[in-house]
Amino acid sequence: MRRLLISPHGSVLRLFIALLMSVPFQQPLFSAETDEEFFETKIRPLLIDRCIKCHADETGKTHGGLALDTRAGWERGGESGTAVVPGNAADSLLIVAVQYGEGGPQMPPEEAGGKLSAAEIGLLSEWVNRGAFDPRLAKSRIAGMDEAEAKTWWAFQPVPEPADQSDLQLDLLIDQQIAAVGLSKAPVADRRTLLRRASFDLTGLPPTPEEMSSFLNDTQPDAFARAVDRLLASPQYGERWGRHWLDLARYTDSWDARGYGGAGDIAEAWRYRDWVVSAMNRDIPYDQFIREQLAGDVINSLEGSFDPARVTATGVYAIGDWGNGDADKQKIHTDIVDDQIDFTSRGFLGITLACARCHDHKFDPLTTRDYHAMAGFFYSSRILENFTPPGAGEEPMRIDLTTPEERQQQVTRQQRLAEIDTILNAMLRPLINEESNALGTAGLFRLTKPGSDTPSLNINETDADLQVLTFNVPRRGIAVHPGPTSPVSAVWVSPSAATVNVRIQLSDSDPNCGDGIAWELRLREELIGSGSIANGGTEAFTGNGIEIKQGELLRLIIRPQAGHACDTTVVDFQIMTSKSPEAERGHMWSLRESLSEGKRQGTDGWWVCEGDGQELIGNESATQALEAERAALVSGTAVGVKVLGLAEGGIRNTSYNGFHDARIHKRGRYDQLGDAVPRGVPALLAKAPLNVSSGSGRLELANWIASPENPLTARVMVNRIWQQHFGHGLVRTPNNFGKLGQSPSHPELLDWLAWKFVQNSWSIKQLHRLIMNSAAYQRSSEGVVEGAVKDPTNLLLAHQNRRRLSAEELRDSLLVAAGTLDLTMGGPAVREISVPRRTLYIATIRSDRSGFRAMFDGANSQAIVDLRTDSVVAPQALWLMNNDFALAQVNALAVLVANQPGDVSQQLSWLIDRLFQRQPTPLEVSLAERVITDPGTAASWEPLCHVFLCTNEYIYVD
Amino acid sequence: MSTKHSGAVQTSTTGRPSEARFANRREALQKFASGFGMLGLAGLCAQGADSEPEVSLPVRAKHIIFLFMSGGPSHLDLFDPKPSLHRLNGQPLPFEKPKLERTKTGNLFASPYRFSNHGQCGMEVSELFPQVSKHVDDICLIRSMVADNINHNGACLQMNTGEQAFSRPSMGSWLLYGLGSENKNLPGYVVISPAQPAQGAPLWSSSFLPAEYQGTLVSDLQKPIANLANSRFSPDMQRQQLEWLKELNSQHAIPRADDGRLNARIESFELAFRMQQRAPESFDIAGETESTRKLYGVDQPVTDHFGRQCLMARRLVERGVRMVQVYHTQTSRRSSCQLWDQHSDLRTELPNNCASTDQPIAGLLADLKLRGLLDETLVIWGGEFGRTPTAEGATGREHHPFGFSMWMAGGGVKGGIVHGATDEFGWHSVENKVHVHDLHATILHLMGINHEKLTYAYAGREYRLTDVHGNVVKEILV
Repeated sequence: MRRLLISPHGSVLRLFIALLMSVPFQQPLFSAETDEEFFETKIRPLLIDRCIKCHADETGKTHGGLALDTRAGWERGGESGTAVVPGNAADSLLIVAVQYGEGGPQMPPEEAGGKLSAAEIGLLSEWVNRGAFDPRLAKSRIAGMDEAEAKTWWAFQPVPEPADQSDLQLDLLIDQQIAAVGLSKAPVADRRTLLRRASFDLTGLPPTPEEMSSFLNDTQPDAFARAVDRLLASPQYGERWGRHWLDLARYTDSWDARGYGGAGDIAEAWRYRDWVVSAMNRDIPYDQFIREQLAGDVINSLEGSFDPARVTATGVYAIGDWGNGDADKQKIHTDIVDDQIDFTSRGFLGITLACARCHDHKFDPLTTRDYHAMAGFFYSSRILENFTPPGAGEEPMRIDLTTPEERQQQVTRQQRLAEIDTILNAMLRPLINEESNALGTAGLFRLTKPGSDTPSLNINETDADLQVLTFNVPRRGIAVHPGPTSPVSAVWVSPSAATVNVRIQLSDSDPNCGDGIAWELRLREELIGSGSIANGGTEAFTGNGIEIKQGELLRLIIRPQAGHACDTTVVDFQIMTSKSPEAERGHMWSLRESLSEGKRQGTDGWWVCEGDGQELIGNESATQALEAERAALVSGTAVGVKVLGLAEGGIRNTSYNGFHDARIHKRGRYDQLGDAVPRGVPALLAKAPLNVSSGSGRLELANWIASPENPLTARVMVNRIWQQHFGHGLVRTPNNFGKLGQSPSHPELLDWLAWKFVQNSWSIKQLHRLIMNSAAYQRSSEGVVEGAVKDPTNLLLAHQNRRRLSAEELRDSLLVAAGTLDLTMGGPAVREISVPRRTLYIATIRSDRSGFRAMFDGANSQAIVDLRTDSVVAPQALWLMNNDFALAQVNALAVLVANQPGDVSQQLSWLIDRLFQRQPTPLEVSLAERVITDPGTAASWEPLCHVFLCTNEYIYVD
Repeated sequence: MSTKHSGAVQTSTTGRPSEARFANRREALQKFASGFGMLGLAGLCAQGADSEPEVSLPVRAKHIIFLFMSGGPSHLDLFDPKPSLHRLNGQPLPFEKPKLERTKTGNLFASPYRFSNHGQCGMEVSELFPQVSKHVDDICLIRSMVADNINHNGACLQMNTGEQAFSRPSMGSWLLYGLGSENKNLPGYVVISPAQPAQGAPLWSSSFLPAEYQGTLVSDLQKPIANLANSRFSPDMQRQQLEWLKELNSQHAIPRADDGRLNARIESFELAFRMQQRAPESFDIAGETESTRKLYGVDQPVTDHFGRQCLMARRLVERGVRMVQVYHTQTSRRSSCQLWDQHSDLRTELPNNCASTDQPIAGLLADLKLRGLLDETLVIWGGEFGRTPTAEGATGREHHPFGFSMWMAGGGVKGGIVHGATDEFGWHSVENKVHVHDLHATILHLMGINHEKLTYAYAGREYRLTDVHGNVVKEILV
């Protein structure tokens, strides 16, 4: 048929064409010209001259959705409908438009040359009236790509089973291409460089001097392989590689500083972050990694075994970027789904399906229909319970991870806990768990009991007021917080028999939280004073002439009120011998002064304890059994843990409540709906329709993505892993394997890796081993001379690529140098950069890109980041030169060096070993000899330490 | 397929699609372009790299000062007089309101403020802007603005980035990407805002453009840029440290001569040191004469804050900063991310806002003109939308994107003209509508950029500030 139509001759054939195209027969012929001659001489040039610039499928410019460069284009028409009704010019929108008719578009517009001449309009009308003969056939296309090209597009082909599956194949495939252009390969990197490279690559941290020397002394042939194994087993591996995934997951700890941690924020996002870190450390198979994020909740309900972690994994879909706060709820809804489609398609599949939201993809074989087929899965799921009223921001849904059985057990537990608490409260148990820079706040020293946040004693070590969570602690002040069921007591043990006066000042320090506290002051059993303060209130108490014996306790007991335990109280508690009311020191004891200076229980006889009893228990043994039982009861439950994530069924107060296929949103508009599209995957990629039997169908979608048969999933992921080891992927556009992406530099290798990945049960750690034990990975990063000409971007990998430390690695390694890095894992994000946790745990706020991370090319959480930028700008230098955080690390390092034994050269050796794991160079030695005048003082070492931390050697990994 | 993307303008980006093509450009850039502002396409073209001539148009304006009245200033009380509101004051709107409504508003609400004619052109302006009114012959007033979003966040985002919900590069970032900055010692795009406007950083974000194109926020007028000094090392010691650093880096570079990034980083420390010396002066208005300070209303309690912001803006454009955005977020009485959001108190807060900005804005226009900078500086005044002709409560107006006013002055726009009109109630823009996308297209045009040609390949397609929209408003060009 197609061949016939293309043949440009024969009147019989033309008649046949006319029949095919349903030309009305009543139209007479207007001239002696054949339809074909008329079209070719009059119409085609006119269309080319005046219309096609803005209306052509071929160029992708189809203003108003209308293409006039093929017959199919005008038959399909634009937004307003079919443009040409053959045989009827009066009803043809094209003719109305060129006549500048009322109520429609007036075409061509002024800027495209203005209205056609009367003669030209006449020609177009005649063409339509005589049947709109148009031989211009569209190439068969699927959206933006020729059908033939789409069907053979490299990334959509099944991953072939390689003939040779030996691990040696990796290097062979690389070496072939290097040899083909006659390049020579860089030699293997020296061993020191290798271990630095491997350590940063796998953990984001430098090797310790001890790790380096043990590796350098390990002469076994498999020394490097074992080093890789050791690094893969380190918990810091998950933190480094989790972060790579979080870049894609547009991870952030908060949407906006103004609502930080509030109901309209995503304060629980860190649980997803911890899930990713843990998944990486456990090396869960990548297919499972996908399934749990996309459908963890569905798997739980299908398997009937509830795993809270699987729900947490779906959190990735709840932390997206969709402009919370819009009054137009329907728009928000479409934006939420768009974000979810975008993450799913680019993140897992390396295709840009979100480009097909308003119109078919301009370059790839992805249609608006495909987009809405996938949209159905997400419209049938929800991350919001309901939409709030217009004007209010949305509140992400919190999913309670408690099961019904657990809830039942909880009742029994609560009863036993109450019994235990009664017994325990009769005693005074000092808080013994100490933490500096607690709750993400520099200068906050905190005492709690092991395994529990409350009760607590909070000490402000600084000379400024500290705002912590919801409460404020004045400079050098202390604040206590009762437990949910137990009081907290500030106790003074009298060193001798005395008559004393007591001054107490209490003030509630979190006026926006809780409902105040009740307090009592007791000597032995005897009640000396009591009262309560309302939320935000203050109270002062004075008691005079209190007789106390040596060793007796004076107890200030602070109890939670009935409704709420969330109250922190600033306490000032002073005791003076009554003989000298203007007591000089020695006759006055101040809880605040003693504890803020000494910071240890027992300082000057002061204790802060859980309970209200009379017996002070100095060691844990007396209550150990009960404490242990209590801890077990408390930790044995996930009650109260709430996470962000996906649930089955659309947002409740919308038309998508329940399970629905999505209707096509024409031009992306929710007020112009077309046909409903059955939930499914892009038609070109679908081997068979997905059978959504019940529910949203997300699990079916996940299974399709996480399948060895899916041509994209494994290729996309192995490329991402490769990229992190070499600086580039084999495909240099990791999120886009479509037409605008780059083709693989080593197609066969990409397929080989993808195959091996699936064969090795989708194990990411196994893939690291495969890559890192290759000669290609281990090559020196020094380029060979002719490479600069033959392969300037090192596509062929004749050498390794040098890379700058990421923002996280830079800050972490400064902390390592200073000896202050705190390797505590997980938990809520820390707000202050000065807290020495790993940078992964320093809070990111999506709306704030002003911090050091953005400056050093950290991932932008507004985007699905596949490859960070690598900029060298002066503000980075300014940060290292002047920022308080950087200078604090310089100082700490200088103190360490100055305290090293030996002379300047020995100290320098220690320093260079610590920073670079090597011996000093002669230049460094002479520099130190010139500069260090007083090797025993930090001040002398500071300028030089600072310079070392600014060097290229420090910030680049060879 | 366009070729103006990614690798073209980054100092040293690895792994971008067009890296190979731009290897030499990058090399060139590494030698001199590691400051705040960076060179953009224009700078590259000047270097003789493969140019994109179609991007460039005749340059009318070199700099922008965008005076952003965060919150949505009322067109009906400031620039768009509506006698019909007086005639029908207190009566229902005589046509159906659009579906997109934030909260229900009441009946028509006449402006409590008088309008009168000003200048040679006779432009009608409210009594709330007595000083600005003196400059109407330099002002091109657009009374037919249209935006799409009815909430601050979405509308501010659209006014700054063209997009209402998702992260996109801001106009200032596009300008830096396209044109670069004229002063390497200063950020090329500065945002002066004592309090955070609307949702903050996304409004000046570079989004998927390289990070160096994002706006630099100055919120503390006393200490405008972070990390410019420290108390631990004296400048002499820092100079000494940089010499040692250079020695160590040079030694490190010997076996690594092929890597231009290493040299670029050495240069970046030198540049940083120069910036430390020179940038503070650029922001510091201490050196301005008494008469200049007075012109801007500096040291007068009501106008001090905004006066300082405007004066700082002038100093910056004078020194080659490409775009300065001045957000009005603080008065002598209060600080807010949405000062101009008069849901109520139209009778008190609106006059306060005007009083705190009128003299500084007039002073800025006068000063720019005096210094011969107005011709090359485009001054833009406006907010994210206007306000409803109908009353919210007794003394307020709701958000209103369907028709509102903005003005521009200098930089290639016609002065003393009014472009477009709203209907008789000030509800819909009806004549010569100017959508936000059209405004953006026009601004880029004035800066010498074809808005359809300044593109960046990201996530599978070419993006631009105006996305698939935007027509240059030719009628207002000189």
